[in-house]
Amino acid sequence: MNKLTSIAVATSMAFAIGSVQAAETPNLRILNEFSTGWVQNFNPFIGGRQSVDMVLEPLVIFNMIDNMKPHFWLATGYSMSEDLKVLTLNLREGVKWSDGEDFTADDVVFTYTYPKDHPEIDTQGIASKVEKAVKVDDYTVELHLVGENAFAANDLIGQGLMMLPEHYWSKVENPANDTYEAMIGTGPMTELKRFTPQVYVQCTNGEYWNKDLSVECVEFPQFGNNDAALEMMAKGETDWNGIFIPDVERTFVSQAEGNKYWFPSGDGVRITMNFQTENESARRAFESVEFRKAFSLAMDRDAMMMIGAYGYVTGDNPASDLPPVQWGWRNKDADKIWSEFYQFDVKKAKQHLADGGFKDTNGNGFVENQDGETFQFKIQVPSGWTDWVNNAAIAVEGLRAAGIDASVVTPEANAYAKNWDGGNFEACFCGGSIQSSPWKFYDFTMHSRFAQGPQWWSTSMTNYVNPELDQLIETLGATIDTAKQKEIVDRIEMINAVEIPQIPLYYNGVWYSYNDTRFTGFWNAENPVAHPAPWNNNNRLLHLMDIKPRG
Amino acid sequence: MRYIFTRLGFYFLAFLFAVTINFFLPRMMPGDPISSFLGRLAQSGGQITPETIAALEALYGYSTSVPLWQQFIGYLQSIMVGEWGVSTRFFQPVIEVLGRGTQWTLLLVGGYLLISYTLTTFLGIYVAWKRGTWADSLITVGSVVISSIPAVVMALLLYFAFASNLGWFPTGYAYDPALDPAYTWEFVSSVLYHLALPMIAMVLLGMGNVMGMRSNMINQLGEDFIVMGWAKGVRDRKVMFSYGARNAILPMITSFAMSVGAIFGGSLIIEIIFNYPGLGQVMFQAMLARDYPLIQGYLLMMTIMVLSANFIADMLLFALDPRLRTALD
Amino acid sequence: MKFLKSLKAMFLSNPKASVGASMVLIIFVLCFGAPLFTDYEPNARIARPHQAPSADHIVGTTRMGRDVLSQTLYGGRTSIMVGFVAGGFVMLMAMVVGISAGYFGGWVDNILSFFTNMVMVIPSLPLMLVLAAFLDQVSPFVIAVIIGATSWPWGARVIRAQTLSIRNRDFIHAAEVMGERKRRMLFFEVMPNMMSILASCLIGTIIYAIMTEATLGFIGLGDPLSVTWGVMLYNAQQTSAIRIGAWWEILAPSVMLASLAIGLALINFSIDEVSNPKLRAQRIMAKFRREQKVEAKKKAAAIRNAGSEPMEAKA
Repeated sequence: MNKLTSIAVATSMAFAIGSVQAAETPNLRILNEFSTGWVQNFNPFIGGRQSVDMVLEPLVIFNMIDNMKPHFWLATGYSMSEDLKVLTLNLREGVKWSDGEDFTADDVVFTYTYPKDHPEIDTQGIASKVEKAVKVDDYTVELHLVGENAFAANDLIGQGLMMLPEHYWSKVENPANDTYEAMIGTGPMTELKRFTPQVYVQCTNGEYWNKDLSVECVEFPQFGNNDAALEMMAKGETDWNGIFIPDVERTFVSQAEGNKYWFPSGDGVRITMNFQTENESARRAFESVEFRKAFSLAMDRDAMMMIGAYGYVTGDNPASDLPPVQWGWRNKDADKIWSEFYQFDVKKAKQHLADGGFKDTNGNGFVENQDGETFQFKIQVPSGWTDWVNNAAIAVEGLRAAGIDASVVTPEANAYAKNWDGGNFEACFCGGSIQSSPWKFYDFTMHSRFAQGPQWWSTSMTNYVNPELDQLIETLGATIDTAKQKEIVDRIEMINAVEIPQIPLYYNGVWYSYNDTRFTGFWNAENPVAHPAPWNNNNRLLHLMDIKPRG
Repeated sequence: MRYIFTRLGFYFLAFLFAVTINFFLPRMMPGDPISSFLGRLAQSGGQITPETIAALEALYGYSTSVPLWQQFIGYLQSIMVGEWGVSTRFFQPVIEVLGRGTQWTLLLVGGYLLISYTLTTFLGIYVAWKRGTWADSLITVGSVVISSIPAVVMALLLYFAFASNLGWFPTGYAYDPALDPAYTWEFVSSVLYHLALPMIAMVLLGMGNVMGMRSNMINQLGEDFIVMGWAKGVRDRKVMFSYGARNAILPMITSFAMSVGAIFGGSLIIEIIFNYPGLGQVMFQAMLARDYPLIQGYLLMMTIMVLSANFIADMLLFALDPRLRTALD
Repeated sequence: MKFLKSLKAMFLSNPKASVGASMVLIIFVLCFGAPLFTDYEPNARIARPHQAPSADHIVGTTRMGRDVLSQTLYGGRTSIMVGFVAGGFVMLMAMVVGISAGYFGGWVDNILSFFTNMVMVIPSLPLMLVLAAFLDQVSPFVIAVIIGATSWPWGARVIRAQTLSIRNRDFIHAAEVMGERKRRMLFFEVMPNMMSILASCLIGTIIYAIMTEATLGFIGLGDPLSVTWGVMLYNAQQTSAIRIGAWWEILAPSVMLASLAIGLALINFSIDEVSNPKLRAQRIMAKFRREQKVEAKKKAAAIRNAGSEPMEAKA
């Protein structure tokens, strides 16, 4: 916005309170967050409206579609010291907070110090990772790390960490309960124009530094369930959606002009076996690699992708279930071995069972384990996650066809989580998560330090312990040389392909759709810039800069 | 007077009973606010890091180390002073979250009670009077058939036919989001428009009351004093309303008091299907998110409303029924 | 037996009862004779997802490629089972509590009535939601028990009132004077006189239970892998069946649910009519009105014949 028009807008606002402005650009209407009624809370740490990420910004945005490539935001660069102990940040100059104050190194230092005094808001674990933050000059900050880690930058300066204005938060005593009505930020949308339980509108920050911004206001209509959202989307009333759409061509694209979609791949979906289950006879079976091969061969992945996931999703998972954003780290040799088992072949599955010593001795149609004991196990899947429940049923069909006595249980999502907290499950239909770096991905999903824990999608899903794997992951974290990193990753991938500690299935989709009658510049398969969905933490600031009003 | 005190005493005990259940039931459920928060994050594909959990635990102050009975005492104390805690799902005081939903539920249920009971009472009186005619058969059988349709089926049918497909009615919200709440005709009409279809569904489902009123009325019409009225040559209309209906309505008041809980419960499914932002929606979210304070608050709110309705009905009966008064005096 | 005779009379003489009974009967035959009407297993994937109705699949297939007809018929068994288990549970509780309270009176009545009223004022659907979620993976049988456990007070109250009124009748006093034992009195004097009210209470509960199962299932509190009408509706809703145009997936269980409920309600309605002599009087009234009309016509004709006599206002 140039100066002249902003003066014009300001005067017209001053003189025409209550009257409707002519020739206003439309609000960008976004559907991303379920709610039974908006609550005015913009707390950036917990429980606030997600759109606080259009108020407070991160230093760097890592591209979640394109190998975590950095897009510099409030920082213009960073460098890691040779000993992996100090991360130096160069800050963008000329950035102002929306109340006119300058954004400087003091704010950054404050952001990294504040969580130490308030552990309840430390969702990123700053206290355990950053020893101290030091101001070098007004636009340079050094982060002194607790432990050495080559991948610390992705963890510490990415989307999850929004820079806080020191002059506001230093005066807040109880940050977790502050509703942040001041909405002071460096971000694009800091003016709250309207707030009702059914809709709220956030408008442009007059001080905004990034001149790519063209959208005037963003609007968030409330919706309580998928159907309510689909109702609005089908009519083409909304511009930018992050909602699952069944039978998308029929229920969305053909319903209104300009309705379009792009569903890139998200995190991996897998079935895991609990290697420490109390079901002894099943545990003995899980321990056999031939059994695990048979398990993988009994998975009708095409049916799962077609039926449960409407054919929107893709497969070709590596044995480690590495998400596509990190496919640059795949190992061709490991993939070749794994491709033998990443297919649906009941006959081959039966062969592997026989090779592993699994025979049906009592004639009930299901094999007994290596010791001749009967065994059966249940795959748990959260009730209400319909696509997964359906696909778990398909998995069980395949297992039973191969002669393995498996069934499905559908605990409520909380009980599902409680079950792995107590190690109280036999097998699990679960997700694979996306992490900020390959190291973090391996660490979280494979390192035995997360076994027997309460974490979603972590090693708790398998409770698999492999000292060599642990060792490799630790070494990877302390290695700065890219060629060496690749070598270690290759070995990790190979272990997964040979050992098959889990059964990767397919990738979840990212449910992103848009309507381009009022705005242009939306990303799509032809223009796949970054993660396109309008959720927070997912590259949506980058996307917002690219969206332009039509006409 | 003694009667009133006895009733009050009963309601107080019932309230304590409900409070006890309120407290213990949610606590016996698996899951806690933290794991359910993570669950929502996991389902939407958010990044979950090991650090998140420690922070959440610190925030919620959620701990199982305090003995249950101490939690219970604390709970009783805070209820009495009106502190119902903070919702872990909406990060707002429970009273506020409930208040937001309650206004719409009260509007829906209150409007329903008014329309439905007026309509069914008059229809009931009418068909009782006209019993044996084709109008009687049509209305009674019709209301039995309509009110037997399960609420889910009825709501889905109306929603998809008239809101989604034909577009005659809105598909969600309590009023047009473009409007700000105000006492203007524009706003009020928008509220009524958004209320209409859920209300129609509820009124149709409540048509069964015609049957209740009809049999009460017929019972009354057989009583001696009615026959005497006729014998004295009192006009039909007067016999119908002053003699018959007045007494036939008394059991309706009791049945209303008894069904008030069911009506509030019934509005739940209607609110979910019509995307109407009432208490039912709130409760559903609270259940899924294991929002203990909110679930407790919801059950408490329901109990208070049901108990009050019962008490009001008691008082009404006491005022309207001379027999009850004389029997007690 | 007198009761059976009146039952027979009811169905023969009352068209509502016979329509209701035949609706219920047809549904029972369809559901319990399911293998006769469909060759498919309810949980087998046998076709492509969301096939429209055709010769192979009379009411189409679901998202999972399962046959809707076979799901509806087999699912009906479970839904009906839930209805009867819950109904039986409620009747048992209601009878034990209601009859003892009404018959024994005094402190027994006070305690039981207090307990009944207490459970009654606790809103049952929210309570059921909490219970169902608490019990985690709820099989249809557990749902039935939950419905039963929260829904008996209403029946207990009705039965208590009825017991009270019967208890004060002369023949009970007579039996008491003759020295009959209390238990015998309860079962042989009081109970038979309440058959109709018990029957109507039972049917009412069954309707309520089937509807509630559908509600809980639809909200997603049932076991998603079981096949019941409620779970079918849930799966259809979850896969946005109507939006996609797969109306058959919603329609089939809906029609069955509504038909069963309407059929049972009609039977219940007729029982009321038969057991309440005042309601039965409508038949007599109808006859009376017909005769009145004929009379009026005759009169009018007579007047016309007689010429211009002054007309009198009718009462």
